[in-house]
Amino acid sequence: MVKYVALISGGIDSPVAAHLMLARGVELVMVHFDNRPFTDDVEVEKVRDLITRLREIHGEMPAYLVPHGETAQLAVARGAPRRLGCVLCRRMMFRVAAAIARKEGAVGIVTGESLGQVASQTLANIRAETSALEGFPGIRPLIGIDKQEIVSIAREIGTYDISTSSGLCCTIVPSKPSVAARDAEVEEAESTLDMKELVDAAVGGAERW
Amino acid sequence: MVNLATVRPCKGSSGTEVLPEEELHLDLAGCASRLEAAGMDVTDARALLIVRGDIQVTLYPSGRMLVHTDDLELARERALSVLTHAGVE
Repeated sequence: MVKYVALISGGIDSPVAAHLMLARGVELVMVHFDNRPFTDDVEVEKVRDLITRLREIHGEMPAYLVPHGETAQLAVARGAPRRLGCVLCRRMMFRVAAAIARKEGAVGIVTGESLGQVASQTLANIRAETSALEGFPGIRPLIGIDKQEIVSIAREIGTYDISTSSGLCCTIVPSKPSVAARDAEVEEAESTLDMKELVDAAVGGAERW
Repeated sequence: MVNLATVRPCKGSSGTEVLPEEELHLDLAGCASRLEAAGMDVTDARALLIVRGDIQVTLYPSGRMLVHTDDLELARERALSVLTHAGVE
């Protein structure tokens, strides 16, 4: 069976993206980035419930809780331009996902992006984030699907109520995020961060769920 | 004393937003020093401060605070304590 790494948050979209791939017979390794202290404990429990629900539907699958808020997110917040925060955060997640994919023998990375929904999901920013996948194909099952359709699938598979239950959104989203990050500014911002150390800390600190 | 308003940021949020009546322009580094001197566990994320504890508070330069509880009164108390220890009159 073909194996992919799938990124999952506590939101509505990523569990649906994972479900669509699982329904097509793809094996997934679920990865959640623990964004505390920029979110709260409730958010992590919500993701645990979402993975449990996906397991009820599709059977057992490995899952990782990866430290992110205390390490990468904090480093980005302290060292990079505010407006690039979301793009750099996504790029960091992609690098870690690529490292986990290599470790797990996965051949690609599944994400829940839907075009234009948030600042990190404009076409320009998706392009700016893609190089951080380090050559792995990025599979985006929801890219052209309307939110209402995504919500409808989430209700159907029983993840909607979990995703919309109590939780705290990321507290460090900039008020004016970049919607079209340029490669040069992304590279410059990342050059001030010790990317290898941050990725190693994330992979090394990953907890198997 | 700063007047504070409490609001729930969105439906289903597990946090409470606490806002000063008038927007502040806080020197977060200075606030962090004063909070630490008062014995609080503070993380300076440059754009915001995280004041840890049983109930975590995120403090923004505008004075806006996100308190990790859905209890409005408790949120207000905790927010007021953070502002007071941060030296905001």
